[in-house]
Amino acid sequence: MLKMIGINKVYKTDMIETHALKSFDLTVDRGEFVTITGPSGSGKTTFLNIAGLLEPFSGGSYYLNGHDMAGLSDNQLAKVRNEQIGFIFQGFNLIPDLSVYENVEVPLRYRGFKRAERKERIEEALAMVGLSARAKHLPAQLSGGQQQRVAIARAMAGRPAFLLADEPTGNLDSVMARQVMDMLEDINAKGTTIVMVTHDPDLARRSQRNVHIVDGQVSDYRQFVAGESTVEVENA
Amino acid sequence: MLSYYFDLAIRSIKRTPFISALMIAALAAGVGMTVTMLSVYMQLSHDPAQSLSKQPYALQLQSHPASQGGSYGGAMRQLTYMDANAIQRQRNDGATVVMFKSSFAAISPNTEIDPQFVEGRVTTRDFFELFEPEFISGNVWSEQVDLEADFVAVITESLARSLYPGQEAVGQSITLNISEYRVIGVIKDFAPQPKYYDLNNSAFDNGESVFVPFSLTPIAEISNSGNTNGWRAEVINSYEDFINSEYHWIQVWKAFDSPSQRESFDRWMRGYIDEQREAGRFPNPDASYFLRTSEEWLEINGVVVDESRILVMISALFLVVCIINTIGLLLGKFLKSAPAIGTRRALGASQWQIFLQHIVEVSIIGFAGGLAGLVMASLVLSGLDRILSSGMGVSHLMLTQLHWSMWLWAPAIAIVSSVAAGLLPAWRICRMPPSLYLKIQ
Ligand SMILES: Nc1ncnc2c1ncn2[C@@H]1O[C@H](COP(=O)(O)OP(=O)(O)OP(=O)(O)O)[C@@H](O)[C@H]1O
Ligand SMILES: [Mg+2]
Repeated sequence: MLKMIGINKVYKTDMIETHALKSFDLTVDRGEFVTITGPSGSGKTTFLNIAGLLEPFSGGSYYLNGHDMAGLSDNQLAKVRNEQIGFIFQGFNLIPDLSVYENVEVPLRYRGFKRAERKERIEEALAMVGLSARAKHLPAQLSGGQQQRVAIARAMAGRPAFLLADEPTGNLDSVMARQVMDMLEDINAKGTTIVMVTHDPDLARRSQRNVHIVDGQVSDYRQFVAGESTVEVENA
Repeated sequence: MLSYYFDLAIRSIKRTPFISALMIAALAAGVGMTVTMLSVYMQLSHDPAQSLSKQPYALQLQSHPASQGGSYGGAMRQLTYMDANAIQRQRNDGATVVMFKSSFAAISPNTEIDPQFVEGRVTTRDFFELFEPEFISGNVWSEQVDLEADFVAVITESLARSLYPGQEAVGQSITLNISEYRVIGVIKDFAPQPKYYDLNNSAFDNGESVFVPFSLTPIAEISNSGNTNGWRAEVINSYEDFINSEYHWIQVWKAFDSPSQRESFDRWMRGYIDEQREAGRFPNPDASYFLRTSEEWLEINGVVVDESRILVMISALFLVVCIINTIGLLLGKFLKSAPAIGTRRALGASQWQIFLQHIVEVSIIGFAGGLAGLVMASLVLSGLDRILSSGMGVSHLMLTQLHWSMWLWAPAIAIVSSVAAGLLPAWRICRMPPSLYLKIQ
């Protein structure tokens, strides 16, 4: 599903070069729910941005669904993001002057769907996150948890195979965080592959596999099996 | 997709009403100024004679050395009565218009109607053939009248309406100064702008409202209200002295049906000039004549002055300044929406789609700026009109009318300028790496 081999990412600013990812290797299989943990600044967001085709990478190769992502044009990258990838951000990133309905509509607009098809998908997505009644609200009129659920609806409306989430519960209290997590587990159970960055070890434990990143490299994998304690699989 | 961008643009404009209004105002100022100057320029460079069925030629005769007066393309602007009359009497080769402007007190037979002061044109029947005013009723006088004179007049619709309200004008009598004339034709009000056929008073003078035969000139002793120019001192004691003088005050126009007609006229003109020179009347050994097309005539008379071209250029520079200001405002505005744009990019918008979205927005602003500029231009022009026309004592000036083509020019200039202003900001925003703005809002 997702395969990164020897990915490098260097940020150059006036003063310093930051090696955010160093020969980064990771494979995620279809249908997996993988959590990414690691200290602040270790490169988690950088990894997600590259995985989500929001940033170019230098060196290494990246295959998504078996296709090489190197050398694609901006148009092709946009199409892959639009059709195959859903994003959820810590800051929700709803567009403030669009209603809930219109926010969920954004990826469908770029997909070129007709009005009827958009409506069907939006209604389905909003029903999934239990916010059908809020379609006409503006993001500012919703609670944080509700906003994140709208963001999930927006990410899922295009029925992507792949969902990337960067600390989706980071701005939420524990009750809301659990709700969002339940929802993501549901989505994963229906077949969507999920990669989620989190700081919360409890949430990490709920996923099937946790990847720990330190200094731009995978430091260890943990495979979780439901109901059992941690099994150390590999040391990098 | 375009309708989606349109919708987004309208929301974006509404979200920042102040900045949007500022941008529209900046563009309106630039466009308004450019359109004002362009309109004046277009009015100045418009040649109404282009639509005539025959090409009319203004005739100039250089009978004396150009150094003694000849600032219109090397000759004087008008002719003497003697020469004009000779050319008019020749009359075999093509149409001949010989004329001057006069003014009359026009009196209706209906004593309840007050006499009024009117501008008149003393001319030949070919005036109507050449310059094509439109007859509503009646007709022009015959060739016989051009030779033998008769007290007949053609008047305009407006004058007919005020002298003979509710009545047919043709057949009525009209008193002009002290002579009584018979109205034989009524034409639609006639005032081509610029008034190429007589540029004496102003190129944007109102037209005349009464036309009488040139052949009446010595009989009715009609006075000239255009310019009279001379190149030597002369003593004038009577009207007869005046028409036999070397004063230049008559306009002459010719038109030809064929090249051979023109050649024949040329032979006659050369003969006439030789004859006059030999008789000692034309002091210039190189005396000659010129036929000027209406376009050349407008140019020679300085109707399209260089200043108006310079004004158009200055206003275009001002527009550039307004565009640069708008670029700054747009950059600030677009960069503020960077997080939303980052989100759109993550959700599948390509750079091109983001670019288009913003270009649609600036085009709408540009269109609004163009309309506002057009309104501004018409306000400025009508203000100018009030100032200038009261100074000249005329009711309104064509010069200060918004040229019709501005309805096309203004929106075009506005949209092109706004897109020019929007290109850089739209390019910047669409090239921004989306990841930069996706972190916590
Ligand atoms: N746009 C950028 N320009 C320069 N350096 C950057 C940029 N983005 C990230 N970095 C640097 O790259 C490194 C990895 O950053 P990244 O955002 O991936 O960390 P993270 O693991 O997501 O941290 P956190 O848990 O705090 O979100 C950091 O040292 C960061 O300073
Ligand atoms: Mg991060």
